[in-house]
Amino acid sequence: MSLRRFIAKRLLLVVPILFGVSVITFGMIKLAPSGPIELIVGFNPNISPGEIARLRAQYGLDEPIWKQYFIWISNVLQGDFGTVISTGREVDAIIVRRLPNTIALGLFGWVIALLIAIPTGIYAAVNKDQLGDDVSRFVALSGISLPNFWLGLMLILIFAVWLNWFPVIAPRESVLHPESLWYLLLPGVTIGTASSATLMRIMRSSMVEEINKEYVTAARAKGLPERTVILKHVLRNSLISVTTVAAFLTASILAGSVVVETVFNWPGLGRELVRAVTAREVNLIMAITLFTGVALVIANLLADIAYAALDPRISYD
Amino acid sequence: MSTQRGRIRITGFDPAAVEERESLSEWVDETEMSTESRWIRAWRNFRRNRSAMLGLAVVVAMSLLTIFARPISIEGVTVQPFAIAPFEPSAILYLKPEYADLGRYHPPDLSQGILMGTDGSGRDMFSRVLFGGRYSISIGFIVVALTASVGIVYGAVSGYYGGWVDELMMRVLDVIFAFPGLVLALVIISVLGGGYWQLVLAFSLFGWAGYARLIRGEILSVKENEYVMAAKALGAKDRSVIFRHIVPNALAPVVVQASLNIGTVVIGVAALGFLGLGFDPGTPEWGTMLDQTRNTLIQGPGGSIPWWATVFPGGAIFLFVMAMNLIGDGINDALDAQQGGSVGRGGGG
Amino acid sequence: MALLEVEDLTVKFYTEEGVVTAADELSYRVERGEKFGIVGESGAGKSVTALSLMRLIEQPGYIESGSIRFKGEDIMELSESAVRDIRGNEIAMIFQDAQSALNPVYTVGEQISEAIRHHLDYSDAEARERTIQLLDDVGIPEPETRYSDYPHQFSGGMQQRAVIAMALSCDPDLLIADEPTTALDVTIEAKILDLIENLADEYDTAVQLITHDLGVIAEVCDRVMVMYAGRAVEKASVEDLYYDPKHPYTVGLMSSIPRVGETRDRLQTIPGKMPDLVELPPGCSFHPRCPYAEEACTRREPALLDVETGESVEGGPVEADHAAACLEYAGELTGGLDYDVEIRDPDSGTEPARPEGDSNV
Repeated sequence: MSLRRFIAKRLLLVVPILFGVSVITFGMIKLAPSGPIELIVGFNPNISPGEIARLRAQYGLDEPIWKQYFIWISNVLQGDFGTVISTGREVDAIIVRRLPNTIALGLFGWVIALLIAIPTGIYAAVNKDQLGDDVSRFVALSGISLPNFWLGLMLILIFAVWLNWFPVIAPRESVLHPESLWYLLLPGVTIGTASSATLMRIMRSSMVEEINKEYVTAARAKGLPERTVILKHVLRNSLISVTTVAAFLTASILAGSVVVETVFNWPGLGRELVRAVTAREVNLIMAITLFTGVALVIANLLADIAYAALDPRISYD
Repeated sequence: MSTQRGRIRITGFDPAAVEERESLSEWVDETEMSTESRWIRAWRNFRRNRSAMLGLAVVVAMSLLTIFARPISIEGVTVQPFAIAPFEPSAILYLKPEYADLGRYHPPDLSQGILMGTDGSGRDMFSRVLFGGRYSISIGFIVVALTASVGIVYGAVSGYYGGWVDELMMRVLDVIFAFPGLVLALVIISVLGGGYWQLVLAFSLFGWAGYARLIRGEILSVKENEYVMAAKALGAKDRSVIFRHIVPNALAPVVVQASLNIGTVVIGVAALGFLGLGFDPGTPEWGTMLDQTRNTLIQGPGGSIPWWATVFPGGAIFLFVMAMNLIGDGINDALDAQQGGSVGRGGGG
Repeated sequence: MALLEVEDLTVKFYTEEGVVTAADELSYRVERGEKFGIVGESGAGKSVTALSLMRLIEQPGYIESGSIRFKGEDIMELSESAVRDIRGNEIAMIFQDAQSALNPVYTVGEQISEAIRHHLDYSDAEARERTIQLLDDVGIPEPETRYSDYPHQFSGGMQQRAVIAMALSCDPDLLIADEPTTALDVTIEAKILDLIENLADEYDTAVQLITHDLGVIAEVCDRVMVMYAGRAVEKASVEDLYYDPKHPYTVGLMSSIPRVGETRDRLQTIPGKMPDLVELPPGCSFHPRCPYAEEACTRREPALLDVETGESVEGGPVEADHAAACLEYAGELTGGLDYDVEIRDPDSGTEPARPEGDSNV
């Protein structure tokens, strides 16, 4: 089928998945044994049942669960995510403030991951089983084994504390001016390296698999120089399988940002989520989780489309 | 030599002459001997892999160390009497008269018996690190065992039956995959609170999805293989086809995935501990210990930073996960090396 | 001087299971315009010889020794870039599985053009024109549209034609066809073989045809080499090979071909199977399966001998018309080779006088 039909078909499929994402987000929180009301009760055990009932009604918690869901989702689709119960602030305002910071950090990490992983993966595959390959594989394996929060802490210890090259405390303002690049570096590297390790391994194994295929021998048999064989013939095929990983990369960066933002006190959604969980702020948790889910679904969709566009076997009949 | 042309027929080449006579030489056709099971061969390959064996040694060593760190008693009966760690993980050293000068954040001091220094409350880091392994390592293994089992069944059913059953089950997986595992665990912890079994649940509730997808993919590819069709044509029942033919072949990548996954779970548990969401603050769990010392780094240069409080617990995590990943890679190489044996690729045709 | 002279080619693979000698002191010769066949079972080392000619043997394989003289120059001595100049240009290869040999992400036309651009230095437009002409020559309809199609849009037979076009694109002097029709239906096989034959004749290209199919050899080739377990066991013209086979293995292969109208219960085969190249039997590799084997056969590996004179033709400049690697022709076997070749006159139903296989007289 043509590319357009493929995209249309995929888009159609995305709708039920987004629906499922919202249901899971809602369900996980709401089906919990304890919620914000219980928390409030925990703080004031002497609260009267009448007061509890009033609170429940105020937050719509006295309705049946499916009705609560519909109320929530219809509000969400209009941009209303509710309020933070303890402070009364609007959740969507918080998201609007924090989202750009997370995007900046995520993008930076993504670029670093790609820049490290792709050339290294190619190099390792071409020099398979030689020293360069063994070293890169070992380094990649270490990268995967490093807890990213520990890496962050160690980087702070080494570069910010001992060497004093970087400031330790992250900026309070938005990161959208040039000086912020400096602040972006340590956390960006922290996020990027962990993801790059996985990506590099996948790049390498994908290329090794392709190099062993017969069209590579055929290309060599035509007398083409080795560089052309690798960069023109093999790489194109490997990149196809790597696009699927690009989506996975987004997931790992999102997960990483939760922890890394906390380590570096970076004012993004990840740090916000951790605070919300600690405070059991239901609305905030649901909003950020929903955002994460939607972001990943979109990333997967884009990766699928890219895959189809790159592989003629899919886009041409 | 004849110059006739026409249809050729050869007589006199008698196979029976070969079969009935005795061997002319000692030589026996090696490939006629039974091939050993792929798992035994994989083990042999694995054994040859030095880094994988090193990883195995480290994992076993660390597991043993945590078990024997302090005595274990169940219902008052002492099951494990040994204590490698010199102190109780919760013992505050400076309260004991003989260790009075080992205050909070005392650097490592071999002469006084504290290999890794003391933490912010004056407790021995070495004992805490040894003991703390119990949490991370045990949760890692338990979660992987649970998720792999559930995932295999789910994926097997989905892959084997196909059709709309498969479609539906896969859509459910798609929804689960829309979230990073850590975020899901985070949200579940927010609902259940922290604690050992809460953590197990947090990682297990959705952690099986990866295995399900993996097994389903394997089953789909194996299902089309001719030997499966042959078995069915001979009248084998569905269930027996799945378990005797498909699953053993599909199991290999699952084993690899499981060993790599243990490391992921260990890091995840530690991450939640680090965020203060896993265990109570005093717990000697590796991630939680890192949380305690986080603020010390913000002191800035000038104040002396208790680097040991950051380096050792994190290093323990890194060491265990690295070893586990070496094992996983080793298993991957060992099982792969068999598929399409090198002789076939090398000289055939 | 022949176009291609292979002398004592030995190729070994160093695997975990042991050392596989895929080619053991192989020597043969291909003249200009000749169609030379290499026949043998799978695992005999046939493809390895093809890849060696272009120095395409990769780890863990190595060309241990031997010389490959192409137009007088030893390919083993050339620099890497000189070899690349020969590949695709003077020696070209047709692969067995056309689908795998074509890169799925580039159009068929592009894959043919790139060789033309590289070797013949044509411009893009010129290369495209030539490619379209080639596609037409190999019998692909609507070549101009097909130029921009991807491999998966071609049928199996078309893919093989495209691969042939790719091989012929730079007018090579030697065409190596590695099981070109094994993956195809029988009806298409006939057409492809015809195509190869006609094109080779037209452009005066020599062909080294590798196959396990005796029928294909009979159809296309002038001279044949039979390989077993990495060694050449018989070399002859096609006529001699079929009407007067000399080596027991060849005899076994011929007798295995089932005939319509035969009244046998079981299919005739050569008992046993080709040994694992890692561990070969002592002496003659074929002896465990040979009905005429004797003790002498386990002690010495027979060299390739001229069947008339009994002299070894290995490694020397002298080429015999018909050579076989069997001790019989050195006069060392006590029993003989006890087989008969009956040639039935295609017109009459009766059997004329039969020539016999050699006895030890």
